[in-house]
Amino acid sequence: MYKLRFIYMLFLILFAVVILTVAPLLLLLKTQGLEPELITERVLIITFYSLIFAFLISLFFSRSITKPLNILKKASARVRAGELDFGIPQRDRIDEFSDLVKTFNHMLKGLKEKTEELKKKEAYIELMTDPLIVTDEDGRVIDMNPAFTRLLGYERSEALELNINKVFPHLFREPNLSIKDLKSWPEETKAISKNGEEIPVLISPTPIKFNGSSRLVITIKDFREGLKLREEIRLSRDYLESVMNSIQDELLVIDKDFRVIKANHAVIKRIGSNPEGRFCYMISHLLERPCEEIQKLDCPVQVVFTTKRPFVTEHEDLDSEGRSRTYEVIAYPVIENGEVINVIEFARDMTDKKQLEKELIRRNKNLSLLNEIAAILAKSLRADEIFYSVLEKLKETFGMDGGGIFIIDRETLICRYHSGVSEEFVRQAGRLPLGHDIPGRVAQSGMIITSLDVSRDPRLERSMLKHSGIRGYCCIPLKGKERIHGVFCLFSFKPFHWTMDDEEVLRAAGEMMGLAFENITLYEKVQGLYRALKDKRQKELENLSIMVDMLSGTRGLNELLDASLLFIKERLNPDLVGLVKIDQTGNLILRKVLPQLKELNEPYLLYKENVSSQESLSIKESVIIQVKDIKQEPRFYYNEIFKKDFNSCLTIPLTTGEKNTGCLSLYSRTPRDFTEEEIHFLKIFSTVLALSIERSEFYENILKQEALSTTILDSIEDGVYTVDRNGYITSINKAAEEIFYIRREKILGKKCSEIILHGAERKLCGTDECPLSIALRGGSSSTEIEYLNPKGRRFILQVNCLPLKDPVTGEVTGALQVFRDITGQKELDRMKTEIIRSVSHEFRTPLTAIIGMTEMILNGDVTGERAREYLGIMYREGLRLSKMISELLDISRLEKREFFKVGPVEIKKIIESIKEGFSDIIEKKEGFIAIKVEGDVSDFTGDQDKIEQMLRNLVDNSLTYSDLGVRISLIIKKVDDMLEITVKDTGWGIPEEDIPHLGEKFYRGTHGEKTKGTGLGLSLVKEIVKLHGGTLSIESKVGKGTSVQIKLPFQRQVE
Amino acid sequence: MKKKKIMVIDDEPFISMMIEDKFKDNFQVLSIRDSTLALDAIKKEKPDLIILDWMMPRVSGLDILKSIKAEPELKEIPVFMLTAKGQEDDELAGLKYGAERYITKPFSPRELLELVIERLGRS
Repeated sequence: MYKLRFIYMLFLILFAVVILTVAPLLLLLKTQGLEPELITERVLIITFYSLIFAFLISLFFSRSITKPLNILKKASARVRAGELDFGIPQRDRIDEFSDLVKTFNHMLKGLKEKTEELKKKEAYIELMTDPLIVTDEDGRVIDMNPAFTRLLGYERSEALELNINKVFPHLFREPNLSIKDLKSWPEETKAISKNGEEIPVLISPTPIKFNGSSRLVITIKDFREGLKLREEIRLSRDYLESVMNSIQDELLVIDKDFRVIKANHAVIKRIGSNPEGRFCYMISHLLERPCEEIQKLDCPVQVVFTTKRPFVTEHEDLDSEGRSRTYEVIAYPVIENGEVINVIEFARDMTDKKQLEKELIRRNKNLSLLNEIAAILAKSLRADEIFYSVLEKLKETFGMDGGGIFIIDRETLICRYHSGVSEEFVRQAGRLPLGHDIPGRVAQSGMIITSLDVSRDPRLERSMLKHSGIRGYCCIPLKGKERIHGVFCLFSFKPFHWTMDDEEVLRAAGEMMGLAFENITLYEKVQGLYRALKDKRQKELENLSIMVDMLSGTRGLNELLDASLLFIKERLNPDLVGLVKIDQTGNLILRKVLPQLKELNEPYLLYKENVSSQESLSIKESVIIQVKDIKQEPRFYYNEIFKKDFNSCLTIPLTTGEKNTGCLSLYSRTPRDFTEEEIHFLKIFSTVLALSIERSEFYENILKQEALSTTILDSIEDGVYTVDRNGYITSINKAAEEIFYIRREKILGKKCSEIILHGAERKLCGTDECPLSIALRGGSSSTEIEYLNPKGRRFILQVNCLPLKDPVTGEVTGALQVFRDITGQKELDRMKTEIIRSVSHEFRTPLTAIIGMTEMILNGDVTGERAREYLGIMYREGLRLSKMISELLDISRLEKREFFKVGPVEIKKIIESIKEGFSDIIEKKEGFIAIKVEGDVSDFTGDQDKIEQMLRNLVDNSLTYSDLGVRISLIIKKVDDMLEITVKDTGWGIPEEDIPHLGEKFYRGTHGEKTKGTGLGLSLVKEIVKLHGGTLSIESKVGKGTSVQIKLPFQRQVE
Repeated sequence: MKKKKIMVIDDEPFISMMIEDKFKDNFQVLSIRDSTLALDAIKKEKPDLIILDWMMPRVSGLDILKSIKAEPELKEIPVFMLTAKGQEDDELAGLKYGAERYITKPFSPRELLELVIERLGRS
């Protein structure tokens, strides 16, 4: 185009030049009158030259026009090619063209800016990680960014045909819902991808106005990660919740406003509703306002908020079933930046513990009451005095307002003592026919009757008590050995709740009083006799009077016996007087003797049960036997002690009504005939003595048995048993039963030597070193013995043996043996020694290299290359030392559960690593290892490194404890949700006695002598198995090989 | 004069190496690494003194000691036991079976040499 125009212009110029030059020339030539031919010739010449001239001129002009044009042309071509980063150089000359260049450059700059801005925007949209779509009013997608494609798979072209109700069908479940109804805040929904997958997203629609029409910009956020996170949070919260709920104690979390923000099931169960968001007092009491406002100053939560320290208190409350319980309420601060942000409040049910405490206190109380009553009874033989003292004591103890004692006199119940009631009432109710009213009924039936409130008790409708003002009431029989002697009553003017315990104590008190009453009656009979004899035998009377005083004044059994024998010795002057008792088995025991004989210790087994002796016949037949010369007596066998020194013997049975419990024996060196008076006196004396002894024994038994309350004994972890002075077991606790592996019933009444049938301590039996015999001699001992119980369990027992002494006389009455099981402690000691031994041993070999070689290098024994070699060995041995130390540390770390990383375990990788790691050693040992994996074990999770270490240690063991040519098989398979790993070898095998010790730290079995090792390998394996919640079993046969089987669960319990 | 023969029986190569280096000026040192071969070697070589490690795989030093003392023609050879145990009861056991000396690891090669020289005299 340009060219044509240029030529055209050239011609125009030429034409103009020709016209302009030729025409004037023609005119000029014509006027000069030249020949036409000549004119034509000249004109032609001039025309020709002017043409050339014109051509040259036009050429010059046209060049100055085309050059700038070309520059512009090229520049526009560069712009078209996308190059914007240049400018056309400006020329100095100011003309149309320079203006053009300026404009062009300006345009270029503008274009560049716009393009860059556009690029930025595009890049931004391109790079937006979150998908973004723009829709029109009808929900049609009219624009989107690449992230949309990335998330949902729609290409741009496909996306532009979409309606958003297809992408977010969950939002448009109702067909009429239009995009206008979409909330303009983030909302969680699911987007449907191109291939139909549901992807959780968070969308935030924003309506905008654009050119007068509505548009909706929707940014979409991929919420899969968010969901995962949320799930994790939920899981950890669930975990926390299940932990909280698994606690039996009640637990609340309380925020700064005293509101409950968390409560576990135990709390919800007790309250019956969830207290979250509410205020609580002592956990279970819901309040409208916080404790602070209603002045509940003892609220632990409040205390913790002010003090910032944990606070514990006790609180009586009802449990979910309405029973009264004692709770220990503990409030614990959660502190952040020095401020208490939450308080955790616990309630622990302490009722059982409290009850145990109460029980102990109660038992103690009951015991001391009975003790006091016993003391009263022992102090006096005057009935009214006893009645008064006991009743007042009981009144005081139970806080009663009054009481009375009724004694049966033939068919009538007569009041012997009363307090707290009017004389008028006593006149009415002081004499009751047997079976009449409450006391009468109790006296007849022997049953206890108690009443919470007499005035409302339907059973007492017709009783005289009904309108007496008495409310709380009890009536207890006074039970003697064979019959009921009367009743006693206690009452208060307020209702009184009698517990089972109260009834038991009262029953015991009633029995004690009943027996005391029997004694008193007998005593009174004796007094009657005494009065009858008064005139006749003055001396005897005196004796009896002294005797009665003596017997009624003494307290302890031993004191009583001593005094009695001394009394006889003084009055009747025998050479020897002895008191013989018959024990449960029928043996005759010399309980007390005067004067003391050096040949025998009291008590002394005089005759075995089936020996026919004067004493046994006297007791059996209840007769007084007198033998003048025992050396000549054919009927009886006499103990050598007596036969040797004495000639005559008189025995009087000790009678307590129904049976004879022993006898009194009086021996004389010379033949002696006791007078009738003497015998008569002894008869009375023995009766009273027998009763006194029985009374004493009875009270002593009560005290003894209660004192050794089995509950207390059983709660002791150490084994405890007691024996009587003859070595027979009288009580034993639970722990001792377990150690001896024998039932209590089978032990009681037997000798200790009958239980301990095995073990080293057996040789002590019957010797003076026996701890029991030491204790029975009054000494105490502490020894360590080894004991094998009938079940074959071996114990090492620390045995402490103490004598049991009479609290009054200090006489040894038995022994107490306490044995503590120190087997575990001993085992620990042994292991500790073993560890020190192994460590020192294993560390010595590398140290030999380090120390010995250093010495040689320093000494100049080796130099140069050899010295370098030495250094190499020293370095290697140093590393070995270091490895042993790390192994030791590894175990202690594993034990503390540090560094346990759970993830998918790549069994394949482990196997390859093992194959590679051991190939050299296997080759050296000319061995062979077969590795097999059965089933799909790819989804096993655990600690990859630890599992590998475990397998390495096992294979290493197989290689270490075997000869050349060992064959090892490693099988890994899945069996019912368990990963079963079996490592089997054809090595030396493990002796049976070593197997239980395997896995103990540093334990090196029998083969330890022959091999190097730390004794740590298998203990590491054991720890790793434990961490994975698995089990380990070892089977081995010496000379055949060893098989180790490990089972690890695929699904581990949350630990 | 011919050097006296010392036999070192130890599975740990560096022990033999140290003893060899330390003793080579005064004695001829023979090292046995595999304890199963030890007894045959002793019978064949009849060394003047044996340094014997206690703990070795398969056949222990104590086993070898017992065998030496059971052979009439070997029992006069003095045996020095090397041990890493350093326990009195082990020492007693070793001496009971006829070991002449009892050397506890780590030991000084110089002192060991002195003890051997003291026993056999300087070559």
